[in-house]
Amino acid sequence: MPVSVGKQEVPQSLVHFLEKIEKDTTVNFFFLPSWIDYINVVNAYDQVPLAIILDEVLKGSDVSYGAINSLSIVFVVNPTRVISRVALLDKAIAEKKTIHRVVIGNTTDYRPNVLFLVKGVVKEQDKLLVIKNATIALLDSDVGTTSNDLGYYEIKLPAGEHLLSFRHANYSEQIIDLRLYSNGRLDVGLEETAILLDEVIIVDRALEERSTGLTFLKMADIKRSPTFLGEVDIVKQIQAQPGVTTVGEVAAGFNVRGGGVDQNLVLYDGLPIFNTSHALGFFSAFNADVVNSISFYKGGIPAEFGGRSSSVLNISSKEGSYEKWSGSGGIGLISSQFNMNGPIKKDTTTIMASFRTTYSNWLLNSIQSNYSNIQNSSIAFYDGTFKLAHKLSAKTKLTFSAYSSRDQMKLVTDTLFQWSNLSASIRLDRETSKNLFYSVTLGFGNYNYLLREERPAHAFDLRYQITYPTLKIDFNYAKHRPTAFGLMSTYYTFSPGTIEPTSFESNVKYQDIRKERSIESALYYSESFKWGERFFLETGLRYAFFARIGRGTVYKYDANKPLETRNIIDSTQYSNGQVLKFYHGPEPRLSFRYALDQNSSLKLSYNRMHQFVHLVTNTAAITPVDVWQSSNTFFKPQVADQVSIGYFRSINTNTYELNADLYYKRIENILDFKDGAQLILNDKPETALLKGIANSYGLEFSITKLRGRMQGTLNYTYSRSLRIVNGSYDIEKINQGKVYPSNYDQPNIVNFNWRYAISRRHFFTGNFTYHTGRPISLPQSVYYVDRLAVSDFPERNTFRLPDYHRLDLAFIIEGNHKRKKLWDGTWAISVYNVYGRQNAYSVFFKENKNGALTPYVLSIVGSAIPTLSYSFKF
Amino acid sequence: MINKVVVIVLFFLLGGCVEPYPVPTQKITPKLVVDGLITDEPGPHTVTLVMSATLTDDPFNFSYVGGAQLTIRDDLGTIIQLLESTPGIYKTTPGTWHATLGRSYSLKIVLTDGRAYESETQLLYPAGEIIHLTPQFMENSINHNDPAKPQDSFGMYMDAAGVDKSPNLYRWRWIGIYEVLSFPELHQKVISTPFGGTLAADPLPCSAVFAPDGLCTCCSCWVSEYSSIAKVSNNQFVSDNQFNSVFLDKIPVDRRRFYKKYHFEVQQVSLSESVYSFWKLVSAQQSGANNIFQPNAIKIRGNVNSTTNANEEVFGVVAFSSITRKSVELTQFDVPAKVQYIDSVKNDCRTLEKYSSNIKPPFW
Repeated sequence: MPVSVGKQEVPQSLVHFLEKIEKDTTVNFFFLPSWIDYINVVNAYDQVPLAIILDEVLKGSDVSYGAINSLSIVFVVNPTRVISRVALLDKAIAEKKTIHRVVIGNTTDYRPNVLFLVKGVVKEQDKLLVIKNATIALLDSDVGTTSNDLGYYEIKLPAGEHLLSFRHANYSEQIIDLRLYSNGRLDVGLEETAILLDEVIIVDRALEERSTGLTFLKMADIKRSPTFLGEVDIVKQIQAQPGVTTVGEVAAGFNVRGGGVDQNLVLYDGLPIFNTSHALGFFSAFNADVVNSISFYKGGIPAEFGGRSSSVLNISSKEGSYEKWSGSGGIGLISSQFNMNGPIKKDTTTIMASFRTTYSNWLLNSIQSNYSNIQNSSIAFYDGTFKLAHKLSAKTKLTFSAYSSRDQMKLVTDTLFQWSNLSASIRLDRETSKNLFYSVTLGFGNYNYLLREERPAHAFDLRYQITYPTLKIDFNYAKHRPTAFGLMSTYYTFSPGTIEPTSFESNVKYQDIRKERSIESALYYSESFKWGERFFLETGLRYAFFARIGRGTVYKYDANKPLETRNIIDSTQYSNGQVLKFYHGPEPRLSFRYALDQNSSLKLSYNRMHQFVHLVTNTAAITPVDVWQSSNTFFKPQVADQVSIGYFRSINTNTYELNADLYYKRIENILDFKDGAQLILNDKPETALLKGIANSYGLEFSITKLRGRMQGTLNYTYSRSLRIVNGSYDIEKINQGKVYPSNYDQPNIVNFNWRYAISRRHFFTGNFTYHTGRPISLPQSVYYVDRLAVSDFPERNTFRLPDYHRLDLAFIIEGNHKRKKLWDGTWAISVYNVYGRQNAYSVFFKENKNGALTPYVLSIVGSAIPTLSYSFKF
Repeated sequence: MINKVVVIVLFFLLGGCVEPYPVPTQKITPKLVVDGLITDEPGPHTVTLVMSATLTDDPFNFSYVGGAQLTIRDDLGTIIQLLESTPGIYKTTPGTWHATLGRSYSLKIVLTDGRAYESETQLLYPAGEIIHLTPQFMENSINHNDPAKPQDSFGMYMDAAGVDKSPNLYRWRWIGIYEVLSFPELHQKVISTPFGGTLAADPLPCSAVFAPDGLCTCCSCWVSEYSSIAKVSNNQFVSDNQFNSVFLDKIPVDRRRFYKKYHFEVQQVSLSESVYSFWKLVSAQQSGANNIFQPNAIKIRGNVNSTTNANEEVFGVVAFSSITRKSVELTQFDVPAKVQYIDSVKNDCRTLEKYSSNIKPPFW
């Protein structure tokens, strides 16, 4: 093909270009115009051989050519990509995924093999809420990215036709049939996942894994899991994550990487929640039906979060629809819930409200038993949420969010326990430009409990309360690199306790422990860097401040004696607003990822956290009457340093995922209690508590199957959680100052959960959990003083409960998958503890005939618990 | 208290259960246990020395520590020697010495092998006063899960007062005494016959059948029972040193206790801070024992330390206390419900209960 082409007009379409050459020369071309009509010749050529021009113009396209003889050139189209594309489209159509065709640029601008930049924002459909961490990926290749905190993304794609997938755990996947001919903007609105829709298959989850310790929980997964008494439970799902344990199956809270229950920052719409459970830990305090998203950080915690030393559980609630009214509800064995949402003013103002309450009282009162007053006992709880969102403009939104939960429990005696959470916030979200987004949150939180004794001779009310108004301002800037910065400040008022007699005969003395006030503040800045496709670094610095402010009294103790009331030698009074003690410190955060290849990556993270409020408890399981103590002169803030290294691998074209994380965490200034110390209504808590150091380390391993009818995750964790409390005096030591395991040291943990899709509407799901029994203390000898037996516990936590294991199964029948329907119901048949294992919850003691303490193991759930529950949407 | 609610749920809804947990045995070195109460009453006052037992030992087969030298020293330098009455039990001489309010005391112990111990020095505080002792009949208040056992009880309440300018740290302990009858002359034994075993009369030697004077020495006994809970004052929530409506215990109403009458005496014992701490820890251990939230183990420290080996741990406590008492008597006529006639026990009444004696108390 010795033809050279002279100077031509550019740009011009390839069809036109070939036609001109045919006209000017003796060369003939054989092609169908539709094969090449989108290809243009854009470079000017002068006396360049035709073969070179064609090679350059057709590079990166599906079209190739061949010369039959020196004057006949035949064009051929490679059908592979088209076939693949059609197959992918057919599959997406069959799966009823939303597909939109979008054209960016003009076909005349098409240049094969040229990369164009596509950028935009991923939002909730019909809403202003941006979706962060959404995955944007090509269906037919490994190219992909994720949206940042502003929902903003950028992706470079070659010119041409693409099937671009937008997905997020809690939203329906959207396929964009993209014709890309130039740089352009592509904003996408995702529809919230109706749990009836098929699961989103995450093709390349590595893209989502920004740090070693971040987990997104899929609401659809949670709702399809087996339940305990029909209650969909977020906290129980957290407990099934690698590195997470609990002291018992109905214990409140969870322990992350060897940390205490109080070391988890649980945020609901940005505000901390102090009590995350109903009925002493039987159920989660959050109604899963109104939860929009859950992100859980156990390492590599972003600088935005702080104040707790182990983990962050960030829960955001749903916003109502701006288009139409809808509702949902559920009927379970113990409780029922209902929620409604819809526009007050279409496209402008929306409202969402939910309420969940129990009828456990009715059940309890129906029980026939030998207990004389059992019918007078009661266990009741409710929780409710309310969210009002108003678009002030296309880029500004004001949201009022409120959450309230309350538990009440009356005993067979005359003692009533009542505890409640309240949080409310007003949040302003504003997008000032496509690169800058900020939000201002002003919130108020309250946690309180009441202990009421009704017997006239001892009648009293004991009240405890924490209030915590909070201001938080967050900026997200994403021009060159995703950047976040902001500040927060919380004004805590701890009312450590008021006891007052409530009858004339009561011999109780009124006592009011003075309120403790403190201010916790922080500034933070974080920035993400990406070098090529392999290196990703998220760095941050948070600087935390804490001031314990007056009024208050600081006692001075004899420096040569233990901290005991009798050793007080002086005291200093501080007036209102005066600073009793000030702490501050930097918290560096680092999260680094290196992609070894397209399927595997190495991850490294480090974070330091300060914790200024501490839960003071002397029990293994937390109780409703535990006390929170703020840092002060005697209690320094907990300082946690954690480093973790992780490895991620995707296997068999993303059918399987493998994750391994190794971590080490050290926390200084943890609090443990002195033997027999009184923790409630103690105005000198420093005499009851001891300071120590916690060390924990572990290896977390998980393998997940993401595709096919059978999907699931198997994880195994080996971890240790150890403490040392070695004060200056004997009574200020635990186990003679030696290292001892914490109450939640459970070295081996296995979790396996799966979901088998029998059909698109029927699922067989289950989970199995195993962990080493947690440490307990047992007496080893007994002696008698004045005829009373006294047991000697030589050391704390030297023995263990029997190992824990349990299997739960569920069969889920979902409604039909039609998009337009008036009523959508789901039945769940669940069996908790299928083989009826009597797992130990705790050890308690009974006196034997000689008065010596004899240990007994208590199992809360001792048999298989079947449940039938029904949930609906309309 | 909380545990009761959970237990309700556990048993009635979820099929939970409670199983004994076998304690893994570990080799434990027995430790010296000191149990002493020295008061301002006439005495004699007793200090007992034993070695601690493991959980599998017979707890009442005490390993007494004999041959020790025990001396009390007061703040005036007076030294009082305690004499070993039986191995391991050391007493002051009756009627010759008692502790005095306002004085400080300590106890010194020297074992035969030369190991020496000393208690913390304690000031003797006044015991205050028990103002009222009030029994309150409580129907269906005990043994809910075992209908074969008594269901009713008397709740024993008291009002007490402390003393101004005193720490007012008290322990309350009680003694209940009741008379029981038995019929040892009706005792039978099984004898073998060609037709199998049969019962034959076998009057016990202590019955009237064999007594030369015709008096039975094991037909009528007085059973003593003692407080089984460590009850200490909770001064934090009490105003004007008044301890009102302090609940002491529940006395089961049954045919033996209320056959004739039930004598109940409560003692208010003043304590030094260290002894109060000891009993408070015992109380916390007892009350925490059945808490299902599993309180951490409580290490109980006494007030006696080794002076020859600082690392040696010593169990127990020596208290120098003042005591004040109050008693009340209840008969079956105080019981609103009908009390059945005493059961016919055909045995030696001294074997009926742990602390059963045929010696009539002086006040009976």
